[in-house]
Amino acid sequence: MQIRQVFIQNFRGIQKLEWKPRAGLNCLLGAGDVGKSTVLDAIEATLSPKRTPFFDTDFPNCDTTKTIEVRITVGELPNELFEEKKLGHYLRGWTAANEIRDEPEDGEEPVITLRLTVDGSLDPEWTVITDRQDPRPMSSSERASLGVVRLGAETDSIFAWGQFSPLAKMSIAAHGATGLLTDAYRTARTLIRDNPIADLIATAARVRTVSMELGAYAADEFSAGLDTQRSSTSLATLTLHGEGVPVRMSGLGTRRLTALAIQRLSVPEGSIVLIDELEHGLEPHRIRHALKKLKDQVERTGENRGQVILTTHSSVTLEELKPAQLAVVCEGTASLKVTVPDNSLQDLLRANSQALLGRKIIVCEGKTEAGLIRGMRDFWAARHDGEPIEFHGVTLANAGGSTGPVRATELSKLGYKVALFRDSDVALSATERTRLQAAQVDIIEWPNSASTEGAIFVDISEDGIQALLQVAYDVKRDATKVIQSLATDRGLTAAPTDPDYRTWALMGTTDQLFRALLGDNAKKNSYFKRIDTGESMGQIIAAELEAGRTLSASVTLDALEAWAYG
Amino acid sequence: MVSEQEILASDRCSVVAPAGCGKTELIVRAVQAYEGKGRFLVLTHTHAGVRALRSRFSKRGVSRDKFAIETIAGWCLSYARAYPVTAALTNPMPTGGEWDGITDGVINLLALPAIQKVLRESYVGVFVDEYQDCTSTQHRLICALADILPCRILGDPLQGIFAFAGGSLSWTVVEAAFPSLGVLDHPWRWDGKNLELGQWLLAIREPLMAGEPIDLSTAPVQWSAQAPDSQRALALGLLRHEQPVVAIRKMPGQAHEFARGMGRAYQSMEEIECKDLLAFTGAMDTLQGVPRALRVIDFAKNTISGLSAHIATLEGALRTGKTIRTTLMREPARRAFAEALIRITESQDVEPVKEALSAVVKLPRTRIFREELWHEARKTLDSFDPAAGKTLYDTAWSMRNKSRFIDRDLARHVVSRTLLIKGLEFDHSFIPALDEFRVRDRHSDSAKHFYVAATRGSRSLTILSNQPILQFPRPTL
Repeated sequence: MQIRQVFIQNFRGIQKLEWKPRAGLNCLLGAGDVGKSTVLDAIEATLSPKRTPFFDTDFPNCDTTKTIEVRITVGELPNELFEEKKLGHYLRGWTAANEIRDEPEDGEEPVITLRLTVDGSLDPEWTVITDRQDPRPMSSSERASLGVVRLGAETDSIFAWGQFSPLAKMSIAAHGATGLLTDAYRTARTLIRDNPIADLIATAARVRTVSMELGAYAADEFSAGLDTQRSSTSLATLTLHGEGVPVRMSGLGTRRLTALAIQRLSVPEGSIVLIDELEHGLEPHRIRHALKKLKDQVERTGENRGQVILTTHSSVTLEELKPAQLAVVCEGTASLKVTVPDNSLQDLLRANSQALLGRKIIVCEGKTEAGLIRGMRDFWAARHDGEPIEFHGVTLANAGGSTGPVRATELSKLGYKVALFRDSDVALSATERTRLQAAQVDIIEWPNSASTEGAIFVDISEDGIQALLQVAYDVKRDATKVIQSLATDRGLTAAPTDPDYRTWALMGTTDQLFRALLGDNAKKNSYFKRIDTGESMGQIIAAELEAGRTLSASVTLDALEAWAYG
Repeated sequence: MVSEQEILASDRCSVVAPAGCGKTELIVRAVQAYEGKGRFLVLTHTHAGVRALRSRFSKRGVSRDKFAIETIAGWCLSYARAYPVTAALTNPMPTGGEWDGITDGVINLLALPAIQKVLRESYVGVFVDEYQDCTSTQHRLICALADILPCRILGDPLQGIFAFAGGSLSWTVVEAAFPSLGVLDHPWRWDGKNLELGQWLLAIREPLMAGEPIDLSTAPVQWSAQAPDSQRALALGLLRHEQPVVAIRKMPGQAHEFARGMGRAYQSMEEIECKDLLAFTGAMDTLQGVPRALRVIDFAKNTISGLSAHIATLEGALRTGKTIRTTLMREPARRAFAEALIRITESQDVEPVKEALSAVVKLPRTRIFREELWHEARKTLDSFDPAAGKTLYDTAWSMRNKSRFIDRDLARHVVSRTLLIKGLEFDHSFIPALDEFRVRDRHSDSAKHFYVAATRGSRSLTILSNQPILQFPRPTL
């Protein structure tokens, strides 16, 4: 099964959303509260057989007069749904151009459209809809055959052979004997220790294999065991054990991967897997491994591939994905927009993926600028009730040299609010500027066409100059090299030896020209073209401002601050 | 004899099933014998056929999830309604000539892979009953179905009497598409009642199909030479069995006349669509003045015997425009009838029509010989609601349409025609004028009509004809 199209209206924070997920893996991306999980909730509520309870709070602003409506068009349909008595008369076509045609034509994929509506009575209604017929109710068992699996906040119950539990479903499915489970419970209470039940052990072994494949640290042997910590009167005391220890006692990551394995095994092949924050509880290498396994399943060719839709807040997850596998969710006018990044963002995704996890992105033209902002972070936070810019959804993206304007434009198209923070000594061309303005990218530059180094050295305090020189000394691990380079640029035959510049008598020039020399020389030698040195520069500036000094660079820095907190 | 295993073993086949030889039973047994999972689609032509199949399945205790029974038309319509664009459905409530278009539309649908998958997921095979009644369009449909699913068809070319309605499919064409498995050869209908008759009816199939003569004087039938009054005597004689009897005539008028002549002893059967009812109600909607009153008289004369003496003057007066003096009429029913007729000429109301019909049956020595038509007309008039915005004609049409889906309550002694009683079963069958079957016209497959008539009675067959040698032109099969 694969979702071809999602339409959500009036569900919680989502006024309206339309999205056509791709076949295979989709990663929903966007700022923390934008509604990614709500999208998963809406899909799950519509496609899963569960009768999810609805509350007033599920309506936008608790306004129950606005009917919740979710429409999902599903393809790669399970054979049984084609039956005449099921949905055989309700098929629609999915065209080569990714559009719905109400009646399928030759060569088009047969799809169905499921609709969930909830009005003020809070009574959910599931129907199959076409443009040509009255809606037909869709039963819970018909929805079950769509095989939707949600891995979210798990409870320990997934590891127990409870009634209707995935483990129970697998054990029954193995032999088609519906009475098996009841028997198992009866037998379990008396015989579990001495007479292990073959079917349950087989199920446990299958779970182990798949959870291992996903990267869980599974014990050497999985079996069914009585969980004495759980209520002894409950039927669900028969739980999955690894070497005698209940799996629910394992680490979070292993628990989640094992839960995912159970879910996957309990539904027919080709299921739609919804995962909230895949990275939860997993180290980076296990995130990568689990992602690879999921991709292997759904990114192949052939039938019954299924589909994975996940949300993430992890740059590790993003690094493993192609731009086409991402779906960026952001707020549009009265609707949520879902946009798939252009392939040209692949480099950014590799090098700078965390930038995409915010709502507002400052595209920095170099590491100097990115470092500088990091250095200013605490200073700005102190001025905003201790909130750093990240609290306001701001992330930073490095764009090496000339790629800045293009990156900024692409990111803006994805719905992010974007500022381009640039070194200003090489001016933007008129075309670039127009293009950026058209893409609604804010351009933040230093006054007087200055380079970043130049803009800072121009009126920083003497202590500030000394501190910046010290950074340069540290970069070269040898102060004399730095001083020698300055002396050469100044045309001096003999360089000063004292690291304290105040002894240099401005190398025989004016304060203004000496400051210009410092700026040009620092830039030429790339002392600050590193995140860490850039950050040091930011901290030095912050200290100056904190001390109450007025800098000409403040215009630009204030603009950055206002943009980040605006 | 074709067994259920044989028919299941062949994915595409046909079986010739003479009347009363266990055709329905074979379908039921085959479905029952199928060991796999899944449902069979059983198609036939009429709603009566659907009911007959359904009751046989339930009698045999076949699980309901093993079969679905539909008319070909109904099944096509459900698909055409589900995919109206692809099937080019123009009218979701089709009539007469539109049905071929619907079948064609569904043939187009069946070409789609998605729909083929629907069929394969829904059914494990198809049985088509009464195949001889298929039109050539329906035959193309079933051939398209057979390309998707195992398809077995059953029928009898000798019972194909619906040529006038397009059912002129040649059995040679049928067997080219569906290779023959053989002919059913045990006359179950007569077994234990009159096996000799049953065997004779099987034996005459060959000569009938070949257009050869058959000697009735040596046959296990009650044959008499046609003579004045012999019809009436034999018809009344059959009643002494106190078992269901059918008298079979060729034309509708002949059947009605026979019923009129027999008083209330035999009821004349109406066809499902009941054209006479529709014609009468339609006339009541549109006619005005004197013609409307005359149409009521006409209707009464066609359904009630012994009427002419009572109403001749009344009718004459209406026709010539003379004043009708109802005050001079002593007979109360006659006066009520006359008063109602006058009111009929004065308005378009339905009430006076009802009154006229109520009055006319109260006239002395009158007898209704078309009980069904009379009853349906009364029911239409009674249930007509002028406020509902429907005409009388519409009311009659929807009432008759409903009756397609319920079993008809047949009188025990009926006079009817082959087209109306095909598929029905009686104890005694009576052909009061065999020679009328021999009338040659374009569609007159006399031998087929005779075969259908002769195979209705399971206990006896009574025939009146001019001579004991029966010979029909060779039928087109």
